Amino acid sequence: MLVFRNAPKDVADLYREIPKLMPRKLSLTAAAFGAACVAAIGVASATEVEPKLDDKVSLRKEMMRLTGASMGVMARIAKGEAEFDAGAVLGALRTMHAVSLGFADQFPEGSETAESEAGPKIWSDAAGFEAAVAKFIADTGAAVKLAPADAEGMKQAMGMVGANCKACHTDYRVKKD
Amino acid sequence: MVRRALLVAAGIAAAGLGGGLWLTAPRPIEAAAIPAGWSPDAEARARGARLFALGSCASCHADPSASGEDRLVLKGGRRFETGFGTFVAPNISQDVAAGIGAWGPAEFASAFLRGVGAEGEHLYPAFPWASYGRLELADALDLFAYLRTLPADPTPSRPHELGFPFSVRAGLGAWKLLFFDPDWVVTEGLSASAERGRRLVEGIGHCGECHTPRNALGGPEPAKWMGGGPNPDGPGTIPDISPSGLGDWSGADIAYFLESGFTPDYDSVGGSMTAVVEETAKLDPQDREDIAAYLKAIPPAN
Repeated sequence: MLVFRNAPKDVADLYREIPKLMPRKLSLTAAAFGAACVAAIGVASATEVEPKLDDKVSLRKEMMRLTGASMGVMARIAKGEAEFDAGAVLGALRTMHAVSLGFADQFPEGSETAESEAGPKIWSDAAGFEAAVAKFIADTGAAVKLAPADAEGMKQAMGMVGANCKACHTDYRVKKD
Repeated sequence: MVRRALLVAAGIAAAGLGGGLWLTAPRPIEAAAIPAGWSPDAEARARGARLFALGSCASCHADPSASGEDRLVLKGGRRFETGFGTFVAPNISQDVAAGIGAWGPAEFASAFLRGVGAEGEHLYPAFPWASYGRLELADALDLFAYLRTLPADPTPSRPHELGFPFSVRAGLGAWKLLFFDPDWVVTEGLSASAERGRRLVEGIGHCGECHTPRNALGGPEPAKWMGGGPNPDGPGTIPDISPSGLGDWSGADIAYFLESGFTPDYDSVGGSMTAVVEETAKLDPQDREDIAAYLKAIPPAN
Protein backbone atom coordinates (compact mmCIF):
# COMPACT_ATOMS: atom_id res chain seq x y z
CA MET A 1 0.00 0.00 0.00
CA LEU A 2 1.31 3.42 -0.91
CA VAL A 3 1.32 5.74 2.05
CA PHE A 4 2.77 9.22 2.36
CA ARG A 5 5.85 8.73 4.54
CA ASN A 6 7.55 11.60 6.36
CA ALA A 7 5.22 13.99 4.57
CA PRO A 8 4.13 16.98 6.63
CA LYS A 9 0.84 15.97 8.26
CA ASP A 10 -0.54 19.46 8.12
CA VAL A 11 0.26 23.13 7.82
CA ALA A 12 1.61 23.11 11.38
CA ASP A 13 4.41 20.74 10.34
CA LEU A 14 5.27 23.00 7.40
CA TYR A 15 5.65 25.96 9.73
CA ARG A 16 7.92 23.93 12.00
CA GLU A 17 10.23 23.46 9.00
CA ILE A 18 10.38 27.16 8.08
CA PRO A 19 12.96 28.24 10.70
CA LYS A 20 15.55 25.73 9.38
CA LEU A 21 15.51 27.46 6.01
CA MET A 22 15.97 31.05 7.20
CA PRO A 23 18.64 33.38 8.62
CA ARG A 24 18.61 33.51 12.42
CA LYS A 25 16.85 36.85 13.04
CA LEU A 26 14.12 36.06 10.61
CA SER A 27 13.88 32.55 11.93
CA LEU A 28 13.13 33.81 15.46
CA THR A 29 10.11 35.70 14.13
CA ALA A 30 9.13 32.75 12.03
CA ALA A 31 9.55 30.38 14.96
CA ALA A 32 7.28 32.55 17.10
CA PHE A 33 4.75 32.70 14.29
CA GLY A 34 5.11 28.98 13.66
CA ALA A 35 4.44 28.28 17.33
CA ALA A 36 1.32 30.43 17.15
CA CYS A 37 0.17 28.53 14.08
CA VAL A 38 0.85 25.16 15.72
CA ALA A 39 -1.31 26.29 18.63
CA ALA A 40 -3.89 27.67 16.23
CA ILE A 41 -4.10 24.48 14.24
CA GLY A 42 -4.12 22.18 17.26
CA VAL A 43 -7.91 21.92 17.25
CA ALA A 44 -8.03 21.15 13.54
CA SER A 45 -5.59 18.29 13.99
CA ALA A 46 -8.01 16.47 16.28
CA THR A 47 -9.83 14.77 13.41
CA GLU A 48 -6.68 13.95 11.45
CA VAL A 49 -6.81 10.93 9.14
CA GLU A 50 -3.79 9.19 7.66
CA PRO A 51 -3.88 10.07 3.94
CA LYS A 52 -3.33 7.06 1.68
CA LEU A 53 -2.51 7.40 -2.03
CA ASP A 54 -4.80 4.53 -3.01
CA ASP A 55 -7.75 5.87 -0.99
CA LYS A 56 -9.25 8.99 -2.51
CA VAL A 57 -11.72 9.41 0.34
CA SER A 58 -8.80 9.85 2.74
CA LEU A 59 -7.02 12.18 0.31
CA ARG A 60 -9.98 14.51 -0.22
CA LYS A 61 -10.69 14.59 3.51
CA GLU A 62 -7.09 15.62 4.17
CA MET A 63 -7.27 18.23 1.40
CA MET A 64 -10.34 19.76 3.04
CA ARG A 65 -8.73 19.65 6.48
CA LEU A 66 -5.66 21.50 5.17
CA THR A 67 -7.94 24.05 3.50
CA GLY A 68 -9.69 24.60 6.84
CA ALA A 69 -6.36 24.91 8.64
CA SER A 70 -5.26 27.53 6.07
CA MET A 71 -8.49 29.45 6.58
CA GLY A 72 -7.78 29.24 10.32
CA VAL A 73 -4.39 30.97 9.87
CA MET A 74 -6.18 33.96 8.32
CA ALA A 75 -9.26 33.87 10.56
CA ARG A 76 -7.11 34.16 13.67
CA ILE A 77 -5.49 37.28 12.22
CA ALA A 78 -8.93 38.64 11.28
CA LYS A 79 -10.17 38.05 14.84
CA GLY A 80 -7.12 39.84 16.29
CA GLU A 81 -5.75 36.68 17.87
CA ALA A 82 -2.58 36.76 15.74
CA GLU A 83 -0.46 39.46 14.07
CA PHE A 84 -0.80 39.96 10.31
CA ASP A 85 2.05 38.19 8.52
CA ALA A 86 2.13 38.58 4.72
CA GLY A 87 4.20 35.43 4.18
CA ALA A 88 1.95 33.25 6.31
CA VAL A 89 -1.18 34.58 4.62
CA LEU A 90 0.26 34.02 1.15
CA GLY A 91 1.29 30.51 2.19
CA ALA A 92 -2.24 29.79 3.39
CA LEU A 93 -3.74 31.06 0.13
CA ARG A 94 -1.26 29.01 -1.92
CA THR A 95 -2.19 25.90 0.08
CA MET A 96 -5.86 26.46 -0.78
CA HIS A 97 -5.06 27.07 -4.43
CA ALA A 98 -2.94 23.89 -4.58
CA VAL A 99 -5.81 21.91 -3.05
CA SER A 100 -8.26 23.37 -5.56
CA LEU A 101 -6.15 22.24 -8.56
CA GLY A 102 -6.35 18.56 -7.65
CA PHE A 103 -9.70 18.47 -5.89
CA ALA A 104 -12.05 17.39 -8.69
CA ASP A 105 -9.98 14.25 -9.30
CA GLN A 106 -10.71 12.86 -5.84
CA PHE A 107 -14.35 11.91 -6.48
CA PRO A 108 -14.46 8.79 -8.69
CA GLU A 109 -17.84 7.07 -9.17
CA GLY A 110 -18.58 4.72 -6.31
CA SER A 111 -16.59 6.63 -3.70
CA GLU A 112 -19.75 7.54 -1.82
CA THR A 113 -18.82 5.54 1.28
CA ALA A 114 -20.47 5.36 4.68
CA GLU A 115 -17.93 7.63 6.37
CA SER A 116 -17.62 10.08 3.46
CA GLU A 117 -19.72 13.24 3.60
CA ALA A 118 -19.53 13.72 -0.17
CA GLY A 119 -23.13 14.39 -1.25
CA PRO A 120 -24.93 12.45 -4.02
CA LYS A 121 -25.22 15.64 -6.13
CA ILE A 122 -21.47 15.46 -6.84
CA TRP A 123 -22.31 12.63 -9.27
CA SER A 124 -25.93 13.39 -10.16
CA ASP A 125 -25.02 17.03 -10.96
CA ALA A 126 -21.45 16.47 -12.15
CA ALA A 127 -21.45 19.59 -14.34
CA GLY A 128 -22.51 21.75 -11.39
CA PHE A 129 -19.84 20.23 -9.16
CA GLU A 130 -17.14 20.75 -11.80
CA ALA A 131 -18.23 24.38 -12.21
CA ALA A 132 -18.03 24.84 -8.43
CA VAL A 133 -14.47 23.43 -8.35
CA ALA A 134 -13.52 25.60 -11.36
CA LYS A 135 -14.69 28.64 -9.38
CA PHE A 136 -12.69 27.44 -6.36
CA ILE A 137 -9.58 27.26 -8.61
CA ALA A 138 -10.22 30.69 -10.14
CA ASP A 139 -10.96 32.44 -6.82
CA THR A 140 -8.02 30.95 -4.90
CA GLY A 141 -5.78 31.79 -7.87
CA ALA A 142 -7.00 35.38 -7.84
CA ALA A 143 -6.47 35.57 -4.07
CA VAL A 144 -2.86 34.36 -4.47
CA LYS A 145 -2.27 37.06 -7.13
CA LEU A 146 -3.75 39.62 -4.74
CA ALA A 147 -0.90 38.77 -2.29
CA PRO A 148 -2.51 40.73 0.59
CA ALA A 149 -0.18 43.31 2.14
CA ASP A 150 -2.33 44.06 5.19
CA ALA A 151 -5.22 42.69 7.23
CA GLU A 152 -7.80 44.52 5.11
CA GLY A 153 -6.48 42.98 1.91
CA MET A 154 -6.46 39.60 3.64
CA LYS A 155 -10.12 39.95 4.61
CA GLN A 156 -10.94 40.68 0.98
CA ALA A 157 -9.09 37.51 -0.05
CA MET A 158 -10.87 35.54 2.69
CA GLY A 159 -14.23 36.71 1.35
CA MET A 160 -13.28 35.59 -2.16
CA VAL A 161 -12.22 32.09 -1.14
CA GLY A 162 -14.60 31.64 1.83
CA ALA A 163 -17.71 32.01 -0.33
CA ASN A 164 -16.59 28.84 -2.15
CA CYS A 165 -16.52 26.81 1.09
CA LYS A 166 -20.16 27.64 1.86
CA ALA A 167 -21.49 27.38 -1.68
CA CYS A 168 -20.03 23.93 -2.25
CA HIS A 169 -20.90 22.62 1.23
CA THR A 170 -24.48 23.79 0.79
CA ASP A 171 -25.09 21.71 -2.33
CA TYR A 172 -22.50 18.96 -2.41
CA ARG A 173 -21.89 17.89 1.17
CA VAL A 174 -24.10 15.84 3.48
CA LYS A 175 -23.28 16.14 7.18
CA LYS A 176 -23.12 12.79 8.94
CA ASP A 177 -21.93 13.52 12.49
CA MET B 1 -80.70 -6.32 26.19
CA VAL B 2 -78.16 -6.56 23.44
CA ARG B 3 -79.90 -3.75 21.65
CA ARG B 4 -79.80 -1.57 24.73
CA ALA B 5 -76.09 -2.24 25.25
CA LEU B 6 -75.46 -1.29 21.66
CA LEU B 7 -77.38 1.95 22.12
CA VAL B 8 -75.34 2.80 25.23
CA ALA B 9 -72.12 1.96 23.41
CA ALA B 10 -73.16 4.11 20.46
CA GLY B 11 -74.01 6.93 22.86
CA ILE B 12 -70.60 6.70 24.53
CA ALA B 13 -68.90 6.58 21.14
CA ALA B 14 -70.84 9.62 19.94
CA ALA B 15 -70.03 11.51 23.14
CA GLY B 16 -66.39 10.46 22.79
CA LEU B 17 -66.30 11.55 19.18
CA GLY B 18 -68.00 14.83 20.05
CA GLY B 19 -65.60 15.41 22.95
CA GLY B 20 -62.68 14.44 20.75
CA LEU B 21 -63.77 16.82 18.02
CA TRP B 22 -64.19 19.57 20.59
CA LEU B 23 -60.79 18.89 22.13
CA THR B 24 -59.04 18.80 18.77
CA ALA B 25 -60.92 21.67 17.11
CA PRO B 26 -58.83 24.56 15.75
CA ARG B 27 -58.50 27.46 18.23
CA PRO B 28 -58.04 30.65 16.22
CA ILE B 29 -57.34 34.03 17.77
CA GLU B 30 -60.59 36.02 17.69
CA ALA B 31 -60.67 39.45 16.07
CA ALA B 32 -61.76 40.83 19.46
CA ALA B 33 -58.31 39.92 20.87
CA ILE B 34 -56.59 42.47 18.59
CA PRO B 35 -56.11 45.71 20.57
CA ALA B 36 -58.64 48.36 19.55
CA GLY B 37 -57.17 50.93 17.22
CA TRP B 38 -54.17 48.74 16.30
CA SER B 39 -52.57 49.93 13.10
CA PRO B 40 -49.30 48.97 11.42
CA ASP B 41 -47.05 51.96 12.25
CA ALA B 42 -43.40 52.45 11.30
CA GLU B 43 -42.09 51.17 14.63
CA ALA B 44 -44.16 47.99 14.39
CA ARG B 45 -42.89 47.48 10.84
CA ALA B 46 -39.27 47.89 11.98
CA ARG B 47 -39.72 45.34 14.77
CA GLY B 48 -41.46 43.05 12.29
CA ALA B 49 -38.59 43.34 9.81
CA ARG B 50 -36.25 42.12 12.53
CA LEU B 51 -38.55 39.14 13.28
CA PHE B 52 -38.72 38.40 9.55
CA ALA B 53 -34.91 38.19 9.42
CA LEU B 54 -34.61 36.24 12.69
CA GLY B 55 -37.21 33.72 11.51
CA SER B 56 -35.54 33.50 8.10
CA CYS B 57 -39.04 33.47 6.58
CA ALA B 58 -37.66 34.00 3.08
CA SER B 59 -35.63 30.77 3.29
CA CYS B 60 -38.85 28.77 2.95
CA HIS B 61 -41.34 31.18 1.36
CA ALA B 62 -39.19 32.85 -1.33
CA ASP B 63 -38.37 31.01 -4.54
CA PRO B 64 -35.39 28.73 -3.73
CA SER B 65 -33.34 30.34 -6.52
CA ALA B 66 -34.17 33.93 -5.52
CA SER B 67 -31.46 36.29 -4.29
CA GLY B 68 -31.30 39.91 -3.19
CA GLU B 69 -34.58 41.84 -3.40
CA ASP B 70 -36.32 38.83 -4.97
CA ARG B 71 -36.10 37.08 -1.58
CA LEU B 72 -38.87 39.45 -0.46
CA VAL B 73 -41.26 37.98 -3.05
CA LEU B 74 -42.88 35.33 -0.86
CA LYS B 75 -44.45 33.31 -3.67
CA GLY B 76 -43.75 29.90 -2.07
CA GLY B 77 -43.03 26.71 -3.97
CA ARG B 78 -40.10 25.29 -2.03
CA ARG B 79 -40.60 21.55 -1.54
CA PHE B 80 -39.85 19.64 1.67
CA GLU B 81 -39.65 15.91 1.17
CA THR B 82 -40.35 14.17 4.48
CA GLY B 83 -41.39 10.76 5.75
CA PHE B 84 -45.01 11.99 5.73
CA GLY B 85 -44.99 13.16 2.14
CA THR B 86 -43.96 16.37 0.40
CA PHE B 87 -44.87 19.73 1.89
CA VAL B 88 -44.90 22.70 -0.47
CA ALA B 89 -44.36 26.15 1.03
CA PRO B 90 -47.40 28.32 0.19
CA ASN B 91 -47.59 31.82 -1.29
CA ILE B 92 -47.66 34.27 1.66
CA SER B 93 -47.14 37.37 -0.49
CA GLN B 94 -49.63 40.26 -0.37
CA ASP B 95 -51.60 39.01 -3.38
CA VAL B 96 -55.28 39.09 -2.37
CA ALA B 97 -56.18 35.86 -4.17
CA ALA B 98 -52.96 33.79 -4.23
CA GLY B 99 -51.35 35.08 -1.04
CA ILE B 100 -52.45 36.51 2.32
CA GLY B 101 -53.25 40.03 1.11
CA ALA B 102 -56.86 39.68 2.24
CA TRP B 103 -55.93 38.58 5.78
CA GLY B 104 -56.52 40.77 8.79
CA PRO B 105 -54.31 40.77 11.90
CA ALA B 106 -56.41 38.08 13.66
CA GLU B 107 -56.10 35.69 10.72
CA PHE B 108 -52.36 36.19 10.63
CA ALA B 109 -51.93 35.82 14.41
CA SER B 110 -54.02 32.61 14.32
CA ALA B 111 -51.74 31.10 11.70
CA PHE B 112 -48.50 32.34 13.28
CA LEU B 113 -49.22 31.55 16.95
CA ARG B 114 -51.81 28.75 16.81
CA GLY B 115 -51.34 26.98 13.47
CA VAL B 116 -54.87 27.80 12.28
CA GLY B 117 -55.45 28.97 8.69
CA ALA B 118 -57.87 31.63 7.46
CA GLU B 119 -60.52 29.00 6.68
CA GLY B 120 -60.33 27.80 10.28
CA GLU B 121 -58.33 24.73 9.25
CA HIS B 122 -55.35 23.24 11.09
CA LEU B 123 -52.00 24.03 9.47
CA TYR B 124 -49.29 21.38 9.23
CA PRO B 125 -46.38 21.89 11.64
CA ALA B 126 -43.98 21.99 8.67
CA PHE B 127 -44.80 25.70 9.12
CA PRO B 128 -43.11 26.17 12.51
CA TRP B 129 -46.04 27.72 14.39
CA ALA B 130 -45.24 25.29 17.23
CA SER B 131 -42.14 27.45 17.88
CA TYR B 132 -43.74 30.81 17.04
CA GLY B 133 -46.54 29.94 19.48
CA ARG B 134 -44.09 30.73 22.31
CA LEU B 135 -44.09 34.39 21.24
CA GLU B 136 -46.65 37.11 22.08
CA LEU B 137 -49.61 38.47 20.13
CA ALA B 138 -47.68 41.77 19.82
CA ASP B 139 -44.90 39.93 17.95
CA ALA B 140 -47.40 38.46 15.49
CA LEU B 141 -48.85 41.93 14.86
CA ASP B 142 -45.38 43.42 14.29
CA LEU B 143 -44.54 40.73 11.75
CA PHE B 144 -47.93 41.18 10.08
CA ALA B 145 -47.26 44.94 9.82
CA TYR B 146 -43.96 44.25 8.05
CA LEU B 147 -45.36 41.60 5.69
CA ARG B 148 -47.92 44.19 4.55
CA THR B 149 -45.03 46.21 3.05
CA LEU B 150 -43.83 43.34 0.81
CA PRO B 151 -44.83 42.76 -2.83
CA ALA B 152 -47.77 40.73 -4.13
CA ASP B 153 -47.21 37.77 -6.44
CA PRO B 154 -50.05 35.95 -8.26
CA THR B 155 -48.41 32.47 -8.34
CA PRO B 156 -50.99 30.07 -6.86
CA SER B 157 -49.95 27.92 -3.88
CA ARG B 158 -49.59 24.27 -4.71
CA PRO B 159 -51.16 21.60 -2.49
CA HIS B 160 -49.05 19.42 -0.22
CA GLU B 161 -48.51 15.89 -1.54
CA LEU B 162 -49.31 13.74 1.50
CA GLY B 163 -50.57 10.17 1.78
CA PHE B 164 -53.43 9.00 4.00
CA PRO B 165 -53.80 9.46 6.99
CA PHE B 166 -51.52 12.52 7.03
CA SER B 167 -53.66 14.14 4.33
CA VAL B 168 -56.51 14.51 6.86
CA ARG B 169 -56.06 17.87 8.57
CA ALA B 170 -58.46 17.02 11.40
CA GLY B 171 -55.78 14.63 12.73
CA LEU B 172 -53.57 17.65 13.37
CA GLY B 173 -55.86 18.56 16.27
CA ALA B 174 -54.71 15.40 18.05
CA TRP B 175 -51.12 16.29 17.15
CA LYS B 176 -51.57 19.66 18.82
CA LEU B 177 -53.03 18.04 21.96
CA LEU B 178 -50.08 15.69 22.18
CA PHE B 179 -47.17 17.89 21.14
CA PHE B 180 -47.98 21.62 21.01
CA ASP B 181 -46.61 23.28 24.13
CA PRO B 182 -46.41 27.07 23.87
CA ASP B 183 -44.43 27.35 27.14
CA TRP B 184 -40.64 27.75 27.15
CA VAL B 185 -38.78 24.44 26.99
CA VAL B 186 -35.82 25.38 29.20
CA THR B 187 -36.88 27.20 32.36
CA GLU B 188 -33.95 26.81 34.76
CA GLY B 189 -30.35 27.93 34.99
CA LEU B 190 -30.54 30.76 32.45
CA SER B 191 -28.69 34.08 32.81
CA ALA B 192 -30.33 37.27 31.53
CA SER B 193 -28.38 36.86 28.28
CA ALA B 194 -29.41 33.20 27.94
CA GLU B 195 -33.05 34.19 28.51
CA ARG B 196 -32.86 36.67 25.64
CA GLY B 197 -31.24 33.91 23.60
CA ARG B 198 -34.11 31.56 24.49
CA ARG B 199 -36.62 33.88 22.84
CA LEU B 200 -34.51 33.79 19.67
CA VAL B 201 -33.76 30.04 19.69
CA GLU B 202 -36.99 28.49 21.03
CA GLY B 203 -39.25 31.14 19.47
CA ILE B 204 -38.71 33.11 16.29
CA GLY B 205 -35.49 31.32 15.25
CA HIS B 206 -37.33 27.96 15.51
CA CYS B 207 -33.98 26.15 15.83
CA GLY B 208 -35.62 23.18 17.58
CA GLU B 209 -37.68 22.35 14.48
CA CYS B 210 -34.61 20.76 12.87
CA HIS B 211 -32.19 20.34 15.78
CA THR B 212 -34.60 18.46 18.10
CA PRO B 213 -35.34 14.87 17.04
CA ARG B 214 -38.93 13.83 16.33
CA ASN B 215 -40.89 10.66 17.13
CA ALA B 216 -42.81 8.51 14.63
CA LEU B 217 -45.72 10.99 14.65
CA GLY B 218 -43.45 13.94 13.94
CA GLY B 219 -43.74 15.23 17.50
CA PRO B 220 -40.61 16.79 19.03
CA GLU B 221 -38.92 14.86 21.86
CA PRO B 222 -38.44 17.49 24.59
CA ALA B 223 -36.10 15.18 26.57
CA LYS B 224 -33.67 15.42 23.65
CA TRP B 225 -34.05 19.17 23.13
CA MET B 226 -31.49 20.35 20.52
CA GLY B 227 -30.04 16.81 20.46
CA GLY B 228 -29.97 16.48 16.66
CA GLY B 229 -30.81 13.37 14.68
CA PRO B 230 -31.70 12.23 11.17
CA ASN B 231 -32.36 15.06 8.69
CA PRO B 232 -36.19 15.26 8.39
CA ASP B 233 -36.16 16.39 4.74
CA GLY B 234 -33.15 14.77 3.11
CA PRO B 235 -30.10 12.58 3.60
CA GLY B 236 -27.57 12.95 6.40
CA THR B 237 -27.95 14.11 9.99
CA ILE B 238 -28.70 17.30 11.87
CA PRO B 239 -26.06 17.95 14.55
CA ASP B 240 -26.57 17.95 18.32
CA ILE B 241 -26.16 21.61 19.36
CA SER B 242 -26.79 21.03 23.08
CA PRO B 243 -23.69 20.87 25.32
CA SER B 244 -23.34 17.15 24.55
CA GLY B 245 -22.77 18.04 20.90
CA LEU B 246 -20.98 21.40 21.07
CA GLY B 247 -18.96 20.24 24.11
CA ASP B 248 -15.70 22.08 23.54
CA TRP B 249 -17.07 25.10 21.66
CA SER B 250 -16.82 28.30 23.72
CA GLY B 251 -19.60 30.87 23.65
CA ALA B 252 -17.35 32.97 21.42
CA ASP B 253 -16.95 30.00 19.04
CA ILE B 254 -20.74 29.67 18.70
CA ALA B 255 -21.15 33.41 18.13
CA TYR B 256 -18.35 33.38 15.53
CA PHE B 257 -19.95 30.46 13.69
CA LEU B 258 -23.26 32.34 13.50
CA GLU B 259 -21.40 35.38 12.15
CA SER B 260 -18.89 33.81 9.74
CA GLY B 261 -20.12 30.26 9.08
CA PHE B 262 -16.82 28.80 10.30
CA THR B 263 -16.54 26.15 13.02
CA PRO B 264 -13.67 26.25 15.55
CA ASP B 265 -11.59 24.03 13.23
CA TYR B 266 -12.52 26.25 10.25
CA ASP B 267 -14.75 23.77 8.54
CA SER B 268 -17.56 25.79 6.92
CA VAL B 269 -21.30 25.80 7.33
CA GLY B 270 -23.22 23.78 4.73
CA GLY B 271 -26.58 22.30 3.79
CA SER B 272 -29.72 24.13 4.84
CA MET B 273 -27.79 25.87 7.66
CA THR B 274 -26.03 28.12 5.11
CA ALA B 275 -29.21 30.14 4.59
CA VAL B 276 -29.67 30.42 8.37
CA VAL B 277 -26.15 31.81 8.86
CA GLU B 278 -26.77 34.36 6.08
CA GLU B 279 -29.44 35.78 8.39
CA THR B 280 -27.63 35.37 11.74
CA ALA B 281 -24.63 37.16 10.21
CA LYS B 282 -26.79 40.31 9.97
CA LEU B 283 -27.83 40.30 13.66
CA ASP B 284 -26.41 42.54 16.37
CA PRO B 285 -23.35 40.89 17.97
CA GLN B 286 -25.31 40.88 21.25
CA ASP B 287 -27.99 38.63 19.68
CA ARG B 288 -25.38 36.07 18.64
CA GLU B 289 -23.85 36.20 22.14
CA ASP B 290 -27.32 35.65 23.66
CA ILE B 291 -27.95 32.62 21.42
CA ALA B 292 -24.55 31.23 22.43
CA ALA B 293 -25.27 31.83 26.14
CA TYR B 294 -28.56 29.93 25.80
CA LEU B 295 -27.01 26.97 23.95
CA LYS B 296 -24.25 26.71 26.57
CA ALA B 297 -26.81 26.73 29.40
CA ILE B 298 -29.32 24.07 28.25
CA PRO B 299 -29.08 20.44 29.49
CA PRO B 300 -27.01 18.00 27.42
CA ALA B 301 -29.38 16.02 25.17
CA ASN B 302 -27.26 12.93 24.52
